[in-house]
Amino acid sequence: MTGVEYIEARSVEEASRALTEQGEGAKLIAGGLALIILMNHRLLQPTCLISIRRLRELRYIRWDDAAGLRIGALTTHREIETSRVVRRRAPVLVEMEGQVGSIQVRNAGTIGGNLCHGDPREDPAPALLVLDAEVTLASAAGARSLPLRGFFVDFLSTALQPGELLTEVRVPPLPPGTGATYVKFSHRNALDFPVAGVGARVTLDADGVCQDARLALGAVGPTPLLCDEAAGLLRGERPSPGLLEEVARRARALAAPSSDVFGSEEYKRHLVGVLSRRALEQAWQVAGDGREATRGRGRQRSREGA
Amino acid sequence: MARRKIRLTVNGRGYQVEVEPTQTLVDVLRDTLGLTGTKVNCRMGECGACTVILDGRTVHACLTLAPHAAGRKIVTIEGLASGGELHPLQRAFIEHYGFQCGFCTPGMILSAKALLDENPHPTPAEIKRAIAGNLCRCTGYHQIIEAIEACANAAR
Repeated sequence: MTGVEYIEARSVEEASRALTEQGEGAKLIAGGLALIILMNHRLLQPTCLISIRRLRELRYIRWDDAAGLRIGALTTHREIETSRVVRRRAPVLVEMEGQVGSIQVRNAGTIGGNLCHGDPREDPAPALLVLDAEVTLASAAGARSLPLRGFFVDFLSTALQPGELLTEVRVPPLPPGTGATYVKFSHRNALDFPVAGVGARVTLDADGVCQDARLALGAVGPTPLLCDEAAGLLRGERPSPGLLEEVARRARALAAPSSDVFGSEEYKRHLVGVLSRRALEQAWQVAGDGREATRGRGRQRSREGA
Repeated sequence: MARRKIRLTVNGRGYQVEVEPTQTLVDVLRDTLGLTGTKVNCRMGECGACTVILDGRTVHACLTLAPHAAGRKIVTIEGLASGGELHPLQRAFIEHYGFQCGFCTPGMILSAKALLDENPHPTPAEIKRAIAGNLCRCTGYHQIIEAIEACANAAR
C-alpha cells in the first residue's frame, strides 16, 4: 500500500474540497476505528486519506436551551460516556456509550465516524433515533440539517453526498416526563456487536398516560429501523401486558434480520420482541420516576413557600 | 511522495521517523523502533494485545494511524520500569501469577495502569470493566484481577 496520498485538513471546507478533488478513492479518517479495520483486512484500499482528526472545532459537547444537546462529530464515545452534561440531559446516551466496544475503542472512536460508517450493528443509532436526533452535514457549498431518521439509506450507505461530512449531532430538549433506554443483547459483555439492540423512549403526561413513544432496532436489518407504527400504538395508553405484546409483535414483523454467526433469523426476530417489551417497560419506568421526582420537588417547593 | 516524517514521543524519548500514511502505530513501534513489547494480533480492535497509552488514554496501536500519533505522548510496556526497578503493577503481576503465556500481559498492564492513574482504588467491578478490552486466551483473569487489586491496595 504505497503511494497513498495523505491530507491533513485544517478546516471543514478544506476537507470537503479535498474529498471532491480526490474523487472516489478518497476516504475521510477521524478515529480510524472502522476505516483501519477495513484497510487491515484489505477490504478497502483508499488512494487518499483525508484526516480530520485535528479539527478541534468539531470536538465539543454543549447544551443550548433552544437546540438541546449539541455534540461535535469528532467527540469520542468515551467523552460522551463520561460527560456530565450528557448524563444530565440525555442519560440514555451514557448508558448506551458504556456498551460500545471497549475503553480502547471508546477512547479513539468518534460519534461522527460511527454514524457515517453506516453499520446497522453499531449501538449509537437506535439510542439517538428514539431521541429524534438530527445531524448537520456540511460541505464547501454550505451546511444542511437532516433528521437522523433520514440519514441511513442502506447497509454501509448514508445520505452523505460527495464532498459532504457530518459535523454535528443534536438531541432536541426532551419534554418533561420522558424516559429512554437502550437494551443490548450480545454474546459477550464487551467488544461485541449486539445480536439485537433496541432503543425505546416514552413520554408520559401528568396522569401517567403515554403522550409519545419511539422504538428503534439495531442489527436486525440493512439499516437501524424506527418502528413508528408499533410505537404509535402506545399513544394515549397506559402499559398493559397485552398492549406491549402487540407492540412487540409489530416490531418483530418489521425486523429484517439475516441468519449469521450471531444467530438465526428466527432467533433474532424472537429477540427483537423480548427486547422491545423490556426496553419499553424500562423507559416507562424511568419516565414515571422522573414525573414523581418532579412532583416531589414541586411539593417541597410549595411547602417551603407556605 | 507519500512518505512523511513525523515526531513521536515514546516513553519520554523523542523520535523522528518516516512513515507511510497508511502505517499504523503498532508497526512503527515494533518494526521501526524495535519496541516489540507491544504485541500485534487481530488488527481489528478485538483482542487488546496492542494496547498503548496515548496522551493518557488507552488505544489500540493497531488501529491508530501513525500520522495521528505525531506530536503526542505514547507509553508502551517498555516505559514502565525505571532505573532497573519494575513498575508496581509488573511486580504485582509476577507475585499473583497474573500471566501464563504472557502475550496479553503488556496490554493488560497498560489498561490497568490507565485505570489506576485515573482511579487509584477501583472496585473489582471497575477493574473488570477496565480490562474488558483485553482478552487473555489462557483465561487467567482471576489472577490478573487479583494482581491489579493488590497493586491498588498496596498504594493505599
